[in-house]
Amino acid sequence: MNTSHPEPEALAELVDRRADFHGDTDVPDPNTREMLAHVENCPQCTEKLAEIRHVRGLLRSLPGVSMPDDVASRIEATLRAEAAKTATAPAIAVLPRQRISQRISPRLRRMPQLSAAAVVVLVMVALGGGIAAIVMNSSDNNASHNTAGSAAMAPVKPDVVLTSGANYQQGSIRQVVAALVMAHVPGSATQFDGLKSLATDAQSSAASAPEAADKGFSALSPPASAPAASAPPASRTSNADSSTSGGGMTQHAPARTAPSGPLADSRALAQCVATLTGGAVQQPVLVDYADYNGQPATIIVLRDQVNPAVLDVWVELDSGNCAHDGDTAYFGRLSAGT
Amino acid sequence: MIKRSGAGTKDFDDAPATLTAMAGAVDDRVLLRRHLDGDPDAFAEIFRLHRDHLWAVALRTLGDADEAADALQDALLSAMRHAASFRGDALLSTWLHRIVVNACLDRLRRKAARPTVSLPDDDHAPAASRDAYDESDQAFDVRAALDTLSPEQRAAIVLVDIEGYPVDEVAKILEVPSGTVKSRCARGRAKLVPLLAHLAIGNQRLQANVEAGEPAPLSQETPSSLEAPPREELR
Repeated sequence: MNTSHPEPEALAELVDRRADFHGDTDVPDPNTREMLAHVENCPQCTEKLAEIRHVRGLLRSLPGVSMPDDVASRIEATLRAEAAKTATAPAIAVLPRQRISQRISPRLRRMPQLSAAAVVVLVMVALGGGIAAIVMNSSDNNASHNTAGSAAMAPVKPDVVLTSGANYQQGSIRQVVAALVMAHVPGSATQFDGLKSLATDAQSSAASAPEAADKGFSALSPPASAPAASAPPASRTSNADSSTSGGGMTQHAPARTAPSGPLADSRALAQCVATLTGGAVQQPVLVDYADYNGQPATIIVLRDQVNPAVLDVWVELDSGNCAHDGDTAYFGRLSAGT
Repeated sequence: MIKRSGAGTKDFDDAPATLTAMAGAVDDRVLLRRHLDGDPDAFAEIFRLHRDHLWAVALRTLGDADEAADALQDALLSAMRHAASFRGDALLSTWLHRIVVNACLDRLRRKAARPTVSLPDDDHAPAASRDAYDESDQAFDVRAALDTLSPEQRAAIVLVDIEGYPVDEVAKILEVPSGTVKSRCARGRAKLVPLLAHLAIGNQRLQANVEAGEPAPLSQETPSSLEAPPREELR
């Protein structure tokens, strides 16, 4: 038996641990058993243990407190006022700003937001030719790039993988993504609430921006005529010549030739998806390895956890880590009016 | 044989409380969604559901009602503005507690960095003022004793020992390993022992419980800190 007196900290922890043991099946580990045996035969330690229990008992027996009404009213009023202020602006456009902009260089932050016409051009570029669409149903090309820490996670296979090179912007990302989903996921217009309306918003903007509409915005409209996820030709993979079929338009950045960045690995992507959804592994509807505000980023479109009929858009900076709040931006539902 | 005690002790993870917590989590998700969708009342409702728990934590940690109110307001505004960053990998209540506790710890640390200078003959300025909120002599002594702890120990003691949150939950709130929470509590309690020895809650009874391997009995007034507020508050 250990005859030395346990440190006060060990005794204090003993109080916790003894309270944690449940029923007859929980057996303390040998060290704890040894300590218990000592304590039970040592008046000094028994006294100390009683003192710690005493403190714990005092703390737990403090009367409960309720927030005073005046404090509650003041805070509630402040919250409502602040919420009303932000609700007048598009909710999604406001919320993520503080998160991701912190990581963006001042130079990039000064870049003007994309105009409606530019959004349209961007979508057209993505659809028309600046895009390499790879359907991941056939094989898992990335399994060999398994990263440490994600080995336990089964890989996910997004329905659609894009390497558009598009530079997504906060104010327009939802419209652009809605249009991309409409174009690439068969039946998405009826499957997901509000998608068509959002994509139509983008289309209406195009109507008021003739220079963009002239350049073939109609490619966006009917999902039936757009490249379907189940049948993109093999030529639209990483080696496709993406510069010729886009109507001669330029993009913010050249399309990547293949998925790149930390989430190119399908297991790392699975890990990230699980983080975003709070543990649920689901196949993303669409993943685009592109840019956000000029920074390499992965755009991930997931079915909403609560309502699978709506889609959620996430942006994960390549420089970041899904587990850290500052690296991820949530752009909310792809549905009209949100 | 060591058993968890039954009647007379607070069991913080009993089934009804768990169910209530689960129902609360669903409410939270719905309300958060409404907030993100632009409902200007939704976040205020989230606040109403959690305010007493958050208040208790802020008040116990800071020890001053005005400071607690300011810290809580700052924290909730920050939480509301960053609500889109809540990703559902923890309970919303955990996330809110984290933001509130961090706001309190910031204040405590700032205060520690700029200690108020008290003159040697300044004997009318107690470390804690009694009029901050209505409390018994015993609660006042406990609060004064808590003032002697480091901010980290204090937060751990407040969450685990006073408010009764499970260690694992507190680890998530404080974003430290469970072992760290336990050791902060252990050190904090060890510091409190000499300061609170004079407050008796029945040493003989404690002694008997030590021998039986049971935690100290708790008074009937102990708040059930994991119990959600009445559902009627939800509109």
